[in-house]
Amino acid sequence: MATMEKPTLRQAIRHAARDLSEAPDRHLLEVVAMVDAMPVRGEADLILEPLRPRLARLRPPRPLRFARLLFLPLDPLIVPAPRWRPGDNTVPRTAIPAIAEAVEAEIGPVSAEIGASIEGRTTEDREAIDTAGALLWPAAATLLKAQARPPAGWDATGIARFHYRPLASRIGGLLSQATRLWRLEAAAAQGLVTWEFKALRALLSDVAAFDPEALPMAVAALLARIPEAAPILSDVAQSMGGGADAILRQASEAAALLLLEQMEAPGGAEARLGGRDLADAGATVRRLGSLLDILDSGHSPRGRRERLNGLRQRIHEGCLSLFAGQLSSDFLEPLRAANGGDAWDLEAATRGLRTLETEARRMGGGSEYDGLLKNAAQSVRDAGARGALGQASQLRLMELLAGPDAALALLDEDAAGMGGLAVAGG
Amino acid sequence: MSTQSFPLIQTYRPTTFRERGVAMPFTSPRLAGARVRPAERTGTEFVVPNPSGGRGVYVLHWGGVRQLCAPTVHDTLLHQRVARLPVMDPGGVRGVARQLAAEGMAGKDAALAARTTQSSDRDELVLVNFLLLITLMEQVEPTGLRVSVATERTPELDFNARRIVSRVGRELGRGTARVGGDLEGLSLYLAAIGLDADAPPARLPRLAARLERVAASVARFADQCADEAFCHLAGALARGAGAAADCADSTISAARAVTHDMRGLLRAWAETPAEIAEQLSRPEWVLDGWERFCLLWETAPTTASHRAALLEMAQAVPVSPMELSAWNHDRPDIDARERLPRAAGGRDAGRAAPAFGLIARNESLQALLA
Repeated sequence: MATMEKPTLRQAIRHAARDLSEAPDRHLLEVVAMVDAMPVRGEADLILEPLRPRLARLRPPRPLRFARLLFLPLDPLIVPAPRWRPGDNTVPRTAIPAIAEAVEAEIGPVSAEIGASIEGRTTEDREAIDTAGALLWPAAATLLKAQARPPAGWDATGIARFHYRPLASRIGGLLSQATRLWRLEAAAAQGLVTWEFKALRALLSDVAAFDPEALPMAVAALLARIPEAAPILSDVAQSMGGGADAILRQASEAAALLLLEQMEAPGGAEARLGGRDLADAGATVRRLGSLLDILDSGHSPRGRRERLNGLRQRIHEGCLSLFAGQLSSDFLEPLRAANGGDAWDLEAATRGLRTLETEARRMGGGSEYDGLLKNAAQSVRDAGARGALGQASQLRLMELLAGPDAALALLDEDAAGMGGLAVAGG
Repeated sequence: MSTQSFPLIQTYRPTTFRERGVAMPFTSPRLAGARVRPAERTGTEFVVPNPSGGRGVYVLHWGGVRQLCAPTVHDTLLHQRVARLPVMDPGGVRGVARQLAAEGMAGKDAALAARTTQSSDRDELVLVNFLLLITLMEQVEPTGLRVSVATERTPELDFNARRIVSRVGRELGRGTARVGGDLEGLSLYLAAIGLDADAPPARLPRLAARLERVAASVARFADQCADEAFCHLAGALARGAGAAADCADSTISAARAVTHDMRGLLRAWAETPAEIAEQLSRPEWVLDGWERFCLLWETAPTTASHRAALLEMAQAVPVSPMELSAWNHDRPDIDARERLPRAAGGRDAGRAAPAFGLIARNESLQALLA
């Protein structure tokens, strides 16, 4: 009789990761929470490795730990170690623990203050990130610039020791301006980018002064996070003078290439179609669309447009699939179960769907979205006719799905046929 | 839809509050800060701040509003009902908006809030009516009774109240029931203002105090702000808000002062009710539109959102009409948009977030309206 060999820990982790890859999002998020709660994660981290594209899409709030806070501004540039190449403007994931441990050990008493600021906080707590990041990022930049030799534990990264210095310097360059970058992102979320010319200029000038080699990384992080900043980037470049505009153009081109490759990686574009909810996903699609438009500028090298069109197609398919799936699960199914009361949850779901769809149309699929929305509007009409929706809810859902005129027409029809909706005075 | 076919009025200086119009709690983003006023030919017309965020206003009838944007169903119904009001004043518009919100047309939170407010409005009205009666009694036959929310309503008090109202009615040549009705009519105006009594502050004094706090907070922001343009804008808005709060305080005091001679007030109410109503409604007109201004600031959690809020506040800031000088008040200089650099007319056009989120945000502001 053949004997069953006991699997090694790594084999067991591989099996677990494979099982998880087919598990529903809800189970995956539970496992992530369990792994995040472990004081020392060690090999358990490997479970998450193949799931990172899905996690990027789901974007669960993650506990704010020292290493995560340190590398938060570089998040769009982090790649799996096998994809990292010397000279790339990216950060291999395996370098994170070694660099973070070294910075934490050497940063001094402020480490305790940072620890207290992030205790119990998550990546959703922007204020905690503002406070702790302002303490950590500039200090870490100074340390990384001064530290010529790789830290202890570098050999475990799988990256040759002589790559450490240039990589650390580029990371330091970006971290030296991370507080500004973070503030710019907050301003962009409020639609205030054009007010930030001076801040953007100061950011790029100071990165160049820290290490000119860090500029492409800074521009890539900037464009990945705030594509709205692209139109003022060239103005900034011109205003800097002294050859800085040429350097910045080259940096922008390198950043464009980097972002393009990031998105072309398997699952790279789809992973970006995520967020806490559909409205968040819509905002992501808007940023992604802006980013693709920037990469598709008139001076693009030959062949880039085809690559970008390929990406647009992938994003379009991803959006349409997300929209159709969520329309069914978050709208049509609950609508079928509605029993005449208020439909506030349906309103929230519909608002999210429309936000996503409005942005997703930029990637194509207008007629497909029109068809899906038309059917959804008909479902609302049917639900109203069978008394499954309150009248105000029926009007508001119709307005969200088909616009205010369609909702007012419904009101008029109802007033003509049945003496008016409960919404008196219409 | 564009604004190109409409003339933009660059310098907007209304003479009276009625000409300024009543602030409409519209939920359509492009109608933020819009006001309604009666118009001879079309019934209503709207004063809409330049949606680009720059200077000036558009004066449009409803058809023009529909060319400017696609108003939400809520806004269309609000317009229809406001157009039917016998008197287009802030109290009337507030009542209509509350009712519409209570019906669910501005979303869940606004519905719940409106139902609560409708109930608390009724309670405040009953309370003020009672306190007004006590005030009258103490002026006619002083007994040391406190004009207080804690004053107990006893059969003896009711008996004395009827007796005194009857006596005052005889003096004024009006029946007891008429005087009772007069007190109820006055209560409708005074409920939001409150009396000089031992009672929780009423809606308008609460709003005036909030406006004062917001003005102080915006002034602190102006002092600490590193960005020159925002610093100027915040400073101008803070000064305007502070002046409006002062003005509200003095009109509230003046309105309450009329109750210091209840017999005189009842006589005047019987003879010239419109004049009394005009005087008692001044605080409401002065504060009209400032609550949204406060909410935009109060609901902004971060420095970046405070800066964005300032741009919206500048667009919605109520302009003070010349009439204020006739009321012996300094006219606050609050056209903050004139202080905005030209390039800083509003948020980035490129943001262009779908309107759904902004409509939902406006509905959530409605839920917070007092």
